[in-house]
Amino acid sequence: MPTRTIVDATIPSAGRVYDYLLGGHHNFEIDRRAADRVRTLIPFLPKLMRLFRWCLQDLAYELTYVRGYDAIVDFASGLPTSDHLHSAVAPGTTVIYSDRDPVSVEYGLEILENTPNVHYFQADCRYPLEYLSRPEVQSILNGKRKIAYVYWGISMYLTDAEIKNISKELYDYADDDACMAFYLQPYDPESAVGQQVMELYSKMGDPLQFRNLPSFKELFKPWVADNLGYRTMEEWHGVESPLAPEEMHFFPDKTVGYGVYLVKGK
Amino acid sequence: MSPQHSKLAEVVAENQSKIADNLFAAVQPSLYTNKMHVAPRRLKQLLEEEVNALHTYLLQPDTAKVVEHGRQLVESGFGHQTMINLTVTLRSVGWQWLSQQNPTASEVMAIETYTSALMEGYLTGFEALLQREQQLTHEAYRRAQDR
Repeated sequence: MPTRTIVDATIPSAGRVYDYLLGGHHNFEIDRRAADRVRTLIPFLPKLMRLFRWCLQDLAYELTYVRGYDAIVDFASGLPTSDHLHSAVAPGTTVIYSDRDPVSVEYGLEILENTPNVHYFQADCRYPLEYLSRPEVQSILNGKRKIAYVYWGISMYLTDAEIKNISKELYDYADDDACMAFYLQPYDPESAVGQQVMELYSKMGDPLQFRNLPSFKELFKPWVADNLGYRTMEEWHGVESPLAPEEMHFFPDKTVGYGVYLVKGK
Repeated sequence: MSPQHSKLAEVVAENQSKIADNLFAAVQPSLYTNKMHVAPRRLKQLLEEEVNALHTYLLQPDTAKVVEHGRQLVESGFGHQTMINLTVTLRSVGWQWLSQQNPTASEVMAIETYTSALMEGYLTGFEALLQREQQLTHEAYRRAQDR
């Protein structure tokens, strides 16, 4: 996950680069230059990012209207703009956003001001138990355990050990009916471009981690995919791949990414 | 308010689905330039709403309402290229019909006026969004640094 605060505007930040690539305006010239370098290496990146970001509204609907969760805890939320979870959940749903970056939190609090049942805290998504145990979070959840947890678009910033820890902590904490929505970003780290991209992000202080689907499944244990399984973004949205054939070889599974609802295995 | 264009409105109503399909084909290539609200599954519905909005204007030509609608399209997440493709296609649809008729001067101008007002609203809405986000960003940085 991005480890530098985006308060520092003198060096590029992965968070602001992400924002720029998605067409946002919370970025500076230094970020735009870094983003342009990334885009030169992987021109399809903005499309890939949109594909997984488009899922948020689907997640909100599925988790609250279809599966009946009345609380969503979203980690590494970024900016809670009007396409984010709270805009599409069933009435009365509690949504708790968090991010480790203080500017995102401050910005989020301002956007969400007076939005009922929506909260935003500063927290590190790598340590969910510490966060969920905080009195301010506990008082909102008020003993609820049938909670949906969301980790969407953050896997590339997490090490294997961190994903394993998140899975274990949430599995132990959560009720049997809990669900964890997760976006998986597979990529071929051995490709020349993959290595260049990883080097660029490392220079920004935000090293990237890529892995294949079997590795993800191993790290998620004992969580398992529900009956929808690991869905490619193309299946999820009902679109053809936005990538040119020559771009597809960066993706070992021939898809730009997977979304999954993880549940406790019976 | 301009005179209503009931003949043109009738053509739009009769061909609503076909026009929406034309719009869909035209804006599909710019799908990935839109904001995140415009997920592929929502696009068709948004474009059907656009055909309805045009129909409403032709029956009740109120340019101020169209400008306001253009502003809302910013909030809906339409990007610049989608707006250009959308307005070009609407003009093209209008001209196709007009070329087969003996239109009045106001009919000739109707869709031109509509698309210009739509774009005017979009541009002012986009400018307002930029200013709002700039202010929010400034205040968020100040508060984060003050912490």
